[in-house]
Amino acid sequence: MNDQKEKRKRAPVFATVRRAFVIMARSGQTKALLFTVLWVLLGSVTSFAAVFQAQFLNSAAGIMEGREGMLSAALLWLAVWGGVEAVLTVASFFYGRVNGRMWEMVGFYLDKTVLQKLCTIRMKYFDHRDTHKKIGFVRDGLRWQMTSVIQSVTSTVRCAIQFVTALFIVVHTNWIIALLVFATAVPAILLQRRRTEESYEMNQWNSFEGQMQRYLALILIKRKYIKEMRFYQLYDYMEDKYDRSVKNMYRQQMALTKKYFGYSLAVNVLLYGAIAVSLAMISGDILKGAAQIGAFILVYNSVRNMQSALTGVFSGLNDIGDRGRYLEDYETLMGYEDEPDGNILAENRSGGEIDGRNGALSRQEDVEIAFEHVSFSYPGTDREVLKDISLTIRPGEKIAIVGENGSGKSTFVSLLTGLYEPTEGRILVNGRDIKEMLPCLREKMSCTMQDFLCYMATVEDNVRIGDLQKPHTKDDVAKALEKAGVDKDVARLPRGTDTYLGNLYEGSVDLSGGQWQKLAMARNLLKEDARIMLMDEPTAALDPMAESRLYEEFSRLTGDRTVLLISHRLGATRLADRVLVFDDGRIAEDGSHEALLEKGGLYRQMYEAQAQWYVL
Amino acid sequence: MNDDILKESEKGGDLGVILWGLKFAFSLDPLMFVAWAFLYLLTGVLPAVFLSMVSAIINTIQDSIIRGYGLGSILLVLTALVAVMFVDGLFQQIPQIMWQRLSNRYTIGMQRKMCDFMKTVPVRYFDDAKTAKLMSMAQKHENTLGYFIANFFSLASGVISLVSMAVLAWQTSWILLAVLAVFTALASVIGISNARMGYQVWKDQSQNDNVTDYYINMVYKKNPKDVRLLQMKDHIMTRWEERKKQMADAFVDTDRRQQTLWFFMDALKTLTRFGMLSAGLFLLRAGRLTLGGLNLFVSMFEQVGNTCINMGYDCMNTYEKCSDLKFKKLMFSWDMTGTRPLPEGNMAAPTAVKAGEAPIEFECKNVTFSYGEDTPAIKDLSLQIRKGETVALVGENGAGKSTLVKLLLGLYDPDAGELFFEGTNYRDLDMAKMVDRMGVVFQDFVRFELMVRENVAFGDISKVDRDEEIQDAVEKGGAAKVVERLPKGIDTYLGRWYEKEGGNMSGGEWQRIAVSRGYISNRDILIMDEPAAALDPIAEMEQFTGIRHALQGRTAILISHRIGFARLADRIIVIKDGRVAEEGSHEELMAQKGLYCRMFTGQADWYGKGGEQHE
Repeated sequence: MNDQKEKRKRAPVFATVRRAFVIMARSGQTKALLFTVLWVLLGSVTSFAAVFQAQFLNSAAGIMEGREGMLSAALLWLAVWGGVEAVLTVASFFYGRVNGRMWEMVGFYLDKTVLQKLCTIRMKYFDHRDTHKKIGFVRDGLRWQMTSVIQSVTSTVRCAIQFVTALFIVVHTNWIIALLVFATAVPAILLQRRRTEESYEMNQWNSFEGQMQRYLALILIKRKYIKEMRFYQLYDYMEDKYDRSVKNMYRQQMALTKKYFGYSLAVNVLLYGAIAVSLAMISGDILKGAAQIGAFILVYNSVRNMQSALTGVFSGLNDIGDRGRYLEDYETLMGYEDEPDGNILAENRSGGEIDGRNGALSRQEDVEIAFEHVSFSYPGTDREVLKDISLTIRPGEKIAIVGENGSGKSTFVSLLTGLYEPTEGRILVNGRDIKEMLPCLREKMSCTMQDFLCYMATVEDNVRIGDLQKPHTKDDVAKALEKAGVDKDVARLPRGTDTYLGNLYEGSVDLSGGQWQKLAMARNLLKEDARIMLMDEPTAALDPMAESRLYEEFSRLTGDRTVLLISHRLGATRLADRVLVFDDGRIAEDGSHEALLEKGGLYRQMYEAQAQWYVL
Repeated sequence: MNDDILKESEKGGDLGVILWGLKFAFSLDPLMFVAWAFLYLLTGVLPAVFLSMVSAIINTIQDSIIRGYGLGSILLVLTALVAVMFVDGLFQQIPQIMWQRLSNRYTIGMQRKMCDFMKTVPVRYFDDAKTAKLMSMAQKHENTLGYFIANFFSLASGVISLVSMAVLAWQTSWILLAVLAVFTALASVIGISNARMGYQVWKDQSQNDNVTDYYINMVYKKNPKDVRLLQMKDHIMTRWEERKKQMADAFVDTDRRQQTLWFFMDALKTLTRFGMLSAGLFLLRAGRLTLGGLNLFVSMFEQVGNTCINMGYDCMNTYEKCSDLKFKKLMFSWDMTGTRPLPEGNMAAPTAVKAGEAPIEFECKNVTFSYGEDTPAIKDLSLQIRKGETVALVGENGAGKSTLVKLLLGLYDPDAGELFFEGTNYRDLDMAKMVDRMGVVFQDFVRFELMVRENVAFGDISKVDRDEEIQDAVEKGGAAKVVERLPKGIDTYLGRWYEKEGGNMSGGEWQRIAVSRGYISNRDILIMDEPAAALDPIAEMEQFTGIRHALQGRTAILISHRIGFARLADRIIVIKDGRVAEEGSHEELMAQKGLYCRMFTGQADWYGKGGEQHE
């Protein structure tokens, strides 16, 4: 909650620069990189424009004094100056073109690699607090942060070069001025550094306060909340909370502004004072005849260049350090461990070449899964969610899993599907470690999780994602819809199976909870040759009639597959030939419905709790 | 009225919107607004003042050289220059500080106006596609007003900057003024087309942007499990890349065209500048220009060119914000008082209570209601619920149960028919008084990502600081165990904040919190819509036993798909297609062998055999 209080060190500048260049090279933008280097070097030329301007003014002054040959001298300087400017204009045109494309491509590369990585890293990274925060930067405009690191690097180097050339010019004119400018710039740099640091710590956008404020703003105006807000009459309470939060944040902001207002005035006095003194000195030189009038403009421009380049360098360095953290996070993310992807179905291998692991299953092959003393805690927590679980799931078994909320049922399924690794013990698939069998095992499963995906795409896509590994015809999709009992609902949609669902696309239709659930069932049923069917509360959103229909069809739908069904509706467990009762992370009871009722333990207690309402 | 809404928003009226925005902004903090606007516009003049000072100094130095004066007069002008710089620095800061305050006011002010709107807008406007669309348009971008004002004044300040430059040019030489005028015209055209391209590409790509975001969200946050179990990686990458590529291409293409425009601008600037400088030399020789005047040529075009580019962006931004504001203005102008025409002639009267009967708590008389223009969700429905009676509403999904509850809660007005609460027509009812009598658990309850304390006390917000009463409600709602394991008890923040602490709440746990909401303050009317859908069997039983316990003497309406629990009720009402299909006690309805009987035995069958075996 107090994220904003956690300080994180700036990333080292050189490491950041290295990372930035590696990313640019990897995204295939090496040529653009070359252009950037050239462009940075051209930065030095801009300082010299001030020299040409000075010479031009000197000659122009000569014209006014009526000296001979001054007009041609002035025109000559003008031509040189104009030539340099013309080169710069053309160069910046080319740089701009290359650059614009480069940012787009680098951004594309970053987004793509991150998304790909997020699809394959192990699930544990999503749960652990620290790693989740690292992943979270995807949402904070990753691409913008990344590209601006690289931009900061180029602008810093450019500023440094400009500073050196401007310094060179000023030293050449009057070294005392150079010293003066340098000395007065120091406080400005320090102040700027302090200020960015403090406002970073306040980091309002990401602070608890800032996020809460945006959340409250939504509660106040969004439809989703209006029922509760209206009925319970919560508007005044929320509005008050929101106002206080906004005002509080404003006060903090103002305090910071006020604190630095005086300082920055003082710094301005120093900076402008330096300019004034420099200009007075050079004016003295000019009057003495030690310099020409152009020197005034030269000093004026160069001093300002020096000041802005110097502060530019330091704010650039700050920036690189700040934003470099995102590149660090990126590197960390890319280094996260992926889910195993060694073993795919025998049919999907090219030319039957089978690697050393050799455990490939064919589509028809049956699967036996064994848990051996499996314990599990979620990463970063001490609580054991599963404790010393041992059991074997034999092919074709119909297993019902019951238990209280939080007793470990869903976690058990997560381990069974290889989403998590056991912290102790092991899981064997046909005698081999589940890790070796992974993608292959999933291809043989069809799953409907409790919080299943409501995919905002067409109805057809929603079904197809149930078995992407195999091409399915429209008929297959229609059949699956029919089996799940949702075909009539789909037929009523404006464009049938081609209707977009959700609210992402123009003309989308949103379904009711029950319809979505039936659609998720159709997705599950599409994979006709699945050997294992997993269903976590497949009827939670269905009305009694629809629920009964589904369970009546149960044995026809599941065939000879292995079935794991999690449900709070204990009546439905009678469809199973084996019931597992979870209690506080252990399998408390394991047996057939009848045997468990006979036993008179937790299962019977739960069963009777529900059945009593239905005794006629 | 709905048809007119969008049509009206299509129409122009930009000037009206601008005036409305300015007036609204002014009204929120008049003094600060005027002061800020004045200072901010003044900053527009500074670049011109700067340029003229520099040329004044050059002229002074040259004068001093020629006439052999000392440093004195030069120092004087120099001091003036530094003073202007200092003022410039101040002018950068002071309006900024003032703006912090103003923008804060605008955020709050707009939010408050929006909030007032939400308090009174009929809920059904959210169900009507047209009004809903306009409202969602109007609710985007919370600080539109701030952005609008900022952009508008930035544009105005640009105009002032251009005018001041023109004055400076005119004082120097009429040729300069003439060239500057032509240059400004060309630069403005470039500036505007440049900004329009940028605006257009974002508008064109917004759909692709949403879709790519959706996929990122799905992988990153919403459904990482499905992505893995359904092996969706390749599918997602293909879909995402297809959209993202389109976006990237569009942006690169726009960037190219913009770069070309920039190049024209740069070339124009360089040509004009050096052309003018060469011409200036001849003017100088002819004595029609001073050295300082010549120096003006160096930076004037640069300044004006930049101003024109910025003004292009300001124009587009103002335009964009203006169209956002247009929706707001339109939405706020809705007349909400006469949303439902009062019936003509006799109004139905509540049914009189005969002596010895319990008084009637809720009554519907021939109520019809539809969300949109489709078939009504409730059709000509009449029913009475008496004080102290427990009623169960059952029926299939979409039969109209939840709609009926929403009508009874006064969230919607019926299209036809009358609703009465304790004999008072809902239209004449003080909602606050009715709310004070009811404990309500919604089916699709909101999971407020706030403290447990607040989540529970939202049933009666006056109790938010009463720990004991909250604790009591938590226990009755079956959430005591949930709260126990939370790190800060009832003061724990839930939702995303709790997730950040490394915890998360399951659906069942949320449901217990929501049910607790209905128990706060021991209201004498209880309405519970699916209070146990996400609970395990034991917890479910506890929940319903708790409800049975709480029912003592109260009026209650229960809705559940677990038909068995309808037996808790004195009377069961079966809703089908928006009408009352069956009505009576459990025994009566079972004897009728109708829909209720079918639903009940449908579920009971799953328990029947096993249960019998064992009894």
